[in-house]
Amino acid sequence: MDKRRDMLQRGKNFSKIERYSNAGTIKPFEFIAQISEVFKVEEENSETGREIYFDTFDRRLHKNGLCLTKKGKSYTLSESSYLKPLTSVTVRSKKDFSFWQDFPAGDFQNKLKKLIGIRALIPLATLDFKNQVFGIFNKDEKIVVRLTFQEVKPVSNEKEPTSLIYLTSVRGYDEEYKRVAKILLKAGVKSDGKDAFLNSFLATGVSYTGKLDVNLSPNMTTQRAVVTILRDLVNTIRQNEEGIIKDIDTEFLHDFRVAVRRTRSLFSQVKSVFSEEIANRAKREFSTLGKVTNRLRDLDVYLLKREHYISMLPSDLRPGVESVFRKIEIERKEEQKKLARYLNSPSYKKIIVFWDNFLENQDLEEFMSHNSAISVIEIAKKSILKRYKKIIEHGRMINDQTPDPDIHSLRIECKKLRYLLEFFSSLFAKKEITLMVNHLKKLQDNLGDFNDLYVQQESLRKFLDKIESRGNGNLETMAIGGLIVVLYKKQQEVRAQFGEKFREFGRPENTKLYDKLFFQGTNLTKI
Amino acid sequence: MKTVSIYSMKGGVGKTASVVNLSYLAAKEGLNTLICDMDPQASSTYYFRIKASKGFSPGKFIKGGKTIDKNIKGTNYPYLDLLPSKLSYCNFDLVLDDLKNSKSKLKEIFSELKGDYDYLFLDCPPGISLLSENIFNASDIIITPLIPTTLSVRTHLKMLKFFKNKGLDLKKIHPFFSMVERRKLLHQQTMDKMEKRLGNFLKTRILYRSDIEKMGIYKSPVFEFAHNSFSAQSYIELWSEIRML
Repeated sequence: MDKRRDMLQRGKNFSKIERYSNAGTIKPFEFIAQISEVFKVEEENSETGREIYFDTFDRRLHKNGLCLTKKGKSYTLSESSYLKPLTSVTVRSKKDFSFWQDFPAGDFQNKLKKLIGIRALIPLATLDFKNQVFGIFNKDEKIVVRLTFQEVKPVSNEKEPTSLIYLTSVRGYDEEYKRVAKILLKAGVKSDGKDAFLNSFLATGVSYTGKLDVNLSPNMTTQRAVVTILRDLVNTIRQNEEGIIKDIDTEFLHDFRVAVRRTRSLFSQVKSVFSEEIANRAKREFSTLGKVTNRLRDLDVYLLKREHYISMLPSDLRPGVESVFRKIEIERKEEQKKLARYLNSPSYKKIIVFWDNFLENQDLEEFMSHNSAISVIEIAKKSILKRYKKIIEHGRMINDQTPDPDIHSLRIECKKLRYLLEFFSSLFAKKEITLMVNHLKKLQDNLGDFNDLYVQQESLRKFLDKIESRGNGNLETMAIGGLIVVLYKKQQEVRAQFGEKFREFGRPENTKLYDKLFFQGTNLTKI
Repeated sequence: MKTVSIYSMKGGVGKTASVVNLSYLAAKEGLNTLICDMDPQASSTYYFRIKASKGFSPGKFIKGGKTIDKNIKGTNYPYLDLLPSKLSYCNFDLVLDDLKNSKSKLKEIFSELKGDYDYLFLDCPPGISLLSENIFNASDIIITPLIPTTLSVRTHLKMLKFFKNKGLDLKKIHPFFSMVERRKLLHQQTMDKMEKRLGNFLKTRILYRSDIEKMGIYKSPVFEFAHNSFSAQSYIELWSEIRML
């Protein structure tokens, strides 16, 4: 009868649903017997099935207080307590739906896109469930409350199933709802507030964050502090290995590389914390990890920008650029296989296992150098101030005539400062550090946009080399040339804004803030 | 939110059956649907096994907002709610007459619901009154079931005249033939004549069938007890036409 099987649920759900955990000691028929003394109870339907819970690797849905479940061919996004469905979609095929684009267009897809972006959905856990829904009727034969008995069991383990009871209200029949709830509570059933049930089986899987999560104390030695930061970074590197090997989504490689970059920056900015041997080894090995991932990341970035580039061209000129992207896709597959092989290889394992073990050491005396024993707060202040000063001096020299490469190197300087602020943020007042990072971010955004537009132009130039001419080959070349001009113009506009952004960054209140937090003897405001 | 009224000046033309079955179909699609029973006979209310609260009345109704909210009840079907009526609704005109914006009060009250519902169905009382005028003003679509007989034609033309006199939008009116008996030549002739003359009839015709009458015995939409029947199919087609409006 339903011609359209795709049902998009949306809008308000006026029913209140409460969950109770039944220790299993009280049988359903006992409840029903008690409720039957006051109302008529009749089974409405029963359902058995399997439900899979999904989220991204970094738990974006969970962080937004939501969860995604799949039952049969239906995907539902609900509040984390899993009591209020927000939107759902029914799909037609049996394939894996991992990215927002895989789902049919509509409310569900829109919401999912905003929540997970370029990350893929990963199955977290699978549950087998058995539901029995009873309608509770008043004397007019109207359903006033619904009672659901549910048994759930995670597929992966052999534990006994958990018994749950759900009470669903019907709008306008609150009194009846309360009466039934009272009967339940009297029978000894416990009201299950938040998602205690869900947490118990979804707790599998470590909560991941790509962000630096480090707590330093001011009188830690610098070596101890650096080791703490490095542990977090190497841990992040390790956590992303599998996602790269399995090619789940492009963010695994991105997070891997960011962690490698931060590691290299830490070693290069906070010097003489380890022996020369260790420092050189770090330089060599983390540089290798950076290099070996460069090509794949470049190709990922091209492909992420695919829609963007194609949309900038008139449709008759798109096939030429499409053919370039097809080539890029092929190369990308090859590079991913190569990198997966590398990450599974003994040479990679040798590197990463070494650092894992090295950082686990409680006693690193033999690897000390002259900054190792100094308290970290001193080194932190010194390096941050030094970097800030450099940026101010460097930035002041930039004018309209300054060649582009100098702008790029300022961007690198700002990145270095940003990393330092992030490494050592736990040593300073949260409010003030956040303020500084935000100021720096504004300048970085301008420099970042500038760089991004430059990179885009470069990619397009590379396309020109690869493009297959079709008869009127010059048209495509001109089209891309035209795009490059548009981007160049945008880039000049961004550059024009640099002066103001830099002045903003270097203004007295900001400089005062740096002085206040990182004062070492040289009063910056006098520069 | 689309406000759809099922209205006829005459009684007994299949209004309630239409409201019940159409709103059921809307809710089945996952559209948040509210039925507002405006008829003191409270037939839709009865079909859904609901009773209005004791204290509820037209006087309370026009307070709108939270008062309406409190009195809306969920039917047995997901996404389908109902604001019940009762016998005291026969006083609606008196209550409306006292108000300043007596002709558009309902429109005002219903607009408060637009965030909550995709479709609002109004089951209208027969006759023509200040309440009817309010309903006409509040509606986006006015569905008029018409039994194809001479008197029905007369009555329908009177409705059109009422609209013209009050400056109401005739384009809102979408009549359809209801309780049609194909054996009767008079029915066929009337339908041909009316379609030629007025032209904007909905294509679907609801035939007189006993399973529609049985809705009163089963107290449910026809789909719950005869979902493969011809009548059920007709209402599905009627709904798809209305859905497109």
